[in-house]
Parts: sequence; C-alpha cells; structure tokens
Amino acid sequence: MAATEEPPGGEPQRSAALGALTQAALALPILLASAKAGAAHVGEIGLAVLGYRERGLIKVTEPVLWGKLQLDDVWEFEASGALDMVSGASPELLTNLSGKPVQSVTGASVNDRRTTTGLRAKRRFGDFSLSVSRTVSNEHDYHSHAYSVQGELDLDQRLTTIALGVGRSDDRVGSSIDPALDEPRDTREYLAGVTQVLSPVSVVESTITLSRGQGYYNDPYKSTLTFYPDLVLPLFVTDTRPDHRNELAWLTRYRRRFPERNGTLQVDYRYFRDDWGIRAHTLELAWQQDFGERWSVRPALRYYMQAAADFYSPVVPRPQPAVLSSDQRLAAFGGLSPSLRVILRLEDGFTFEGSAGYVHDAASLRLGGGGSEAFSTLRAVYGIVSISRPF
Amino acid sequence: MRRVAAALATAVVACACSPVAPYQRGYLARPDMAMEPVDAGTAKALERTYSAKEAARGGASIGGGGCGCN
Amino acid sequence: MRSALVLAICLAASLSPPASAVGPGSQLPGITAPRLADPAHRVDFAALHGDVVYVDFWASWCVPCRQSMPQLDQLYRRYQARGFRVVGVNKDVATADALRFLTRVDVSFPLVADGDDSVAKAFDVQAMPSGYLVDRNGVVRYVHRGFSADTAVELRTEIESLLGSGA
Repeated sequence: MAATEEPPGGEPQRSAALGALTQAALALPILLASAKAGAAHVGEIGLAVLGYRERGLIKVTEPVLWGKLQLDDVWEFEASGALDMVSGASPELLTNLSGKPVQSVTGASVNDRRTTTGLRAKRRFGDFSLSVSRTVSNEHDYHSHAYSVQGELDLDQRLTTIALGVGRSDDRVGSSIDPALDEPRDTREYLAGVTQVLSPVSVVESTITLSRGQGYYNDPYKSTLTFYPDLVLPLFVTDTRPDHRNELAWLTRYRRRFPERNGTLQVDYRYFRDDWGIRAHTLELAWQQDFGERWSVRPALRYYMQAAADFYSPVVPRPQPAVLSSDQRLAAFGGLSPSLRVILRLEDGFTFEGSAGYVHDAASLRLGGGGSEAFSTLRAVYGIVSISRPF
Repeated sequence: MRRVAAALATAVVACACSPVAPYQRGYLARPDMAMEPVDAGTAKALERTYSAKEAARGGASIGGGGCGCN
Repeated sequence: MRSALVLAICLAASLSPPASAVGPGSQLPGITAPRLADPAHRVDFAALHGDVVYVDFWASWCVPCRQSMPQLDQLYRRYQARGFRVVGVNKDVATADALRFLTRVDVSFPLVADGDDSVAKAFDVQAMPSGYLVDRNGVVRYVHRGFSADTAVELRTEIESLLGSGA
C-alpha cells in the first residue's frame, strides 16, 4: 500500500474489480432462474456504500453488493461482492528522532483497491443444516482464498441451535515496494456456538472461534528507527513478527425486545486472546427504538480495549530482539465509538439504512491505564448508506 | 473465568425450560432481534472499519479470509 | 448447588404432562376470535358446525406458510361450494406484519388474529404452521404439523373423504 504512484496495470485492476462485483451480481439471476421450478422463493438484494475518513490520513470508500435467496426452506444462498478503495497515506516508520517515538509517513499518497467476493450455500435436512462458503479477496499485494463448512443442529423445536464449523484460509502476501516478496500464510479456523431462545422476547448466542495460522505475518511496509545517544548510527528494524499465530475469540450476543417500549436492546461482548500476548475486550451496547411502522433509530456505543503484543515496542530495544513491531495496531490502547443508525422500511419492502459513526482510539482510553505511550490517537468518522429490497 | 462459565451454563440450562411455544416466535423473527444486522452490506462494512485498526478479529463467523489491511 | 436445583426443576418440568392436547377425536374448541382486518367483528368457531373446516395457524415469519397459504386458498376455492371452510389464525405480534405478508400472498378465506394466544392455547398448537381438519360434527379428524408438498396431497384426500361422508 506504500506505492508512490498507482501501480502499473491500473486499468486491468479496475476491470478485475468490476468483474468481481459483476460476478456477484450475476450469481443472483442465475439462482432465480433455478428457482422458477415452482419452488416458493424468498430473497433479498441490497447495496451498501461505506465512506470512512481518518483525520488527514486515510480515506476509504467501499461499495458492497449482496443478495440472499431462500428456496422452500430447504436451500439458502448468499452472494456478496465488495470493492474496497483506499487512498491516502499509511504510517510506515516509527522513529524517535525527535526524542520521543513518533509515527511518520513517508511516500506520497496511495491508491489501493481490494475486491472481495463471497458465496455461501446452505441446505436444510430437517433439524440439521449444512453450509459451505467460499471467499476470495484480492489486492495487488495480498491474495486470500478461504473456505468454510458449517453444520447447525436445531434442538427443542428450534429453541436451541448448536453450530460447529471448520474453515481454512490460504493467503499470499506480497509487497508493492518489494516485487520479490511472495509469501504464504495459511490459517485453519474452528467454530463452536450455541444460540438459545430464552423467552418469547429474548435470545442469546455464544460462539467461540479458534484460529491457528502459520506463515508470513510481517507488515512489509512498516519499520522502526531508533536513535541512541551512544550510537553513531540509529537502529533500523523492519517489521518482524512470529511465523505463527493462534487466536481465540469468544463472542456473546444478546437481544431483548421490549414490546411496551417498542424498542430492542442489543448487547455484544467479545473476548479475544492470542499467543502474541494480545488480550482484547469489545463491548457494544445498542438500543433500537421504533417510531411507528416505518422508522427506527438505533444509537449505539462500542468500547474496545487491547493489551499490547509481546513483541510490540515503539523503540528498538537493546539487545535487538528477533521479533519486533512498532505497528500501533499491536499496541495497548482503548477506543470508544459512538454511532447512530436510522432505518426506514417501506410497505413494498424497500429498506433504507443510514449509519454514521465516530471512532476514537487513544492510549488514555484504555480502562485501567497502561496504554502505549507512542500510540498516536486515531480519530475517524464513517458513514454507511444502504438500500435493500426483498423479492 | 470459571464462575462466569458456570453462570452462563446455568442460565442456558435454566432458560431452556422457559416455555416458549412454537407460535410465540413473532418477536424473535424481527430483524432487530437477529444476531447479524440483516443488511449484509452494512455488516461487512462495519467489520472492515473496526478490524483494520484493531488486533482482535472475528468471533461471529469463519472462512472470511484474510485482509492485507495496512 | 444452585445448578443442581435448576437442573432438577428442568427435569421435573419436562416430565410433566402436556396441556390438553387437541388431536384426532377431540371436539373443536368453542372459542371466538377477532377478524384480522376488522377486529370489532369476531368469528365464532362453534358456528362452523355443519361444514368441514380446516383451522390453519400461520404467521408472516413462518417460512412454510408461504407455500401453505396459496395451497390452502386453492383447496378453499375448489371445495367451498361443497361445504368446505378454511379459517386462518394469524400468530403475528403485529397485524401490520400479517397484512404485509398478505400483499404478497393473498387468500380469500377468512382470517382471524390471535394476539393473546387464546386460540393457539385452546388448540395446543405444537408447530408452525399447524392445521386441524374438522368434520361436519365438530370433531377434529386430522392434524397437520408443518407443511410440505405431501401435506397438500394428503389434505385433498382427507377433505374429499370428509365431504363425501355427508351428515
């Protein structure tokens, strides 16, 4: 992403992106054609556009096209295509030249495009259903192919659902500043979850995901430069991370309808840990309030906090370690993100949604303190506009 | 940790007995009662927004592939 | 200790006998329900005596209902003249959801709302959709839980037999 100009071959890339989106869009009519065999079909198609802007640094635009199709309560298909367009400058060098470690941005602005297409097919066999999915993601310095198989079992007349899944992701990492870089990263994922209806107005879901990966994890664009008073030359280390990563994510989600108040409470909590030393908590509280048949407003507040990776350091320590990264996404910090979503549902089924959010990540926002000193406060805003309609 | 897990297990078992008749699914079928936002596009966009800046990832699903988010 | 107590209560609850099950041989519950589009007027189930009636429990969130409703409408139109009636009992929490469903799947047989679950409880509905086929004497003869392609075929045979028996 640190190219100083748009990478050569911009034209073919653009048409590749367009091709990916078109592929996703075409998947739906093909499914519709097969649905015409008299089966009762219900589906939905939608388009969402994300705009994200970081204070002075990065700008992202991402349209996402998606579609769902249900046949007879037996088959369910889902297809989506997303085009991620990033422009701006990405921090690359952490240097303490000024006395304190500070991020600096080298290189001119960047234009990067990532296309992601996903397909999922699910078949129901009574109380059991099986789904397979495939996701392909491409940008000029990163390619990812992922698959997953998941089974779900409904118990107690669908009051309890147990899910088990396995997945695999084969990625290839490259670099626009080092054409020779072409390293694999392979990940295996395992999922186990349970969804439980608690009452006619409440439901809870808890899912654990394990991920075991090996391969290339370094960020080819980041490095650390540290000056020591007693050294003539500064120490310079490119981002070096372990060649494996084992992760665990435990997500619990609770939904509770309050019919008297015409509102729904949504609570999400995720605990994350990995063998890089990162421990993170994510908590999101949201309240969706209905105003009549058409309008809903959903204010939400998301809090995030993480502990730094073992090998994170904004300065190169002495003696120089084998693994070191000053990427502040591995630092200790906390983040608060309020957001507001407005939903409009029309009688014919058209649904319009608009969301706006503010992201504020800072070392000082970490509950209990301990935020990394060199963490550069992030301030970003985002907006998502979407339209969907059933058919 | 263990106490939390025990409490969670008790809650699940206890609530599995709460009588919810098959015809009482009206509220549960509402889109705002779903775990994922019904709009798949919004869900993906939000996921991307936060995971590009944080070390933690995933939790809800697998097989989503990696991201070269720099 | 608390977990053991909860577990014991759950076991006890699961072993208790179900509420008065309405099945083949039971009498049609004598109950009334408000019309879906016109809640001021009610449908009296007792007044249906003399006709063969299919009481169908449906909802907008019930996926098989997207197939069952049109099929039931077809049966209704076909056998109406011979004394066959269908009453659709709606289980949506909001009438607006039901009406939205009906804009896509329109039916011609009478529909009633059951917001307080009194009708569903009287019939002890065990699945969605559920259908109770009642003969001319008000006796439930067949119960259909869920709806598949086979259900429609079976129903036709059952309706024919009940209509043909007369009396």
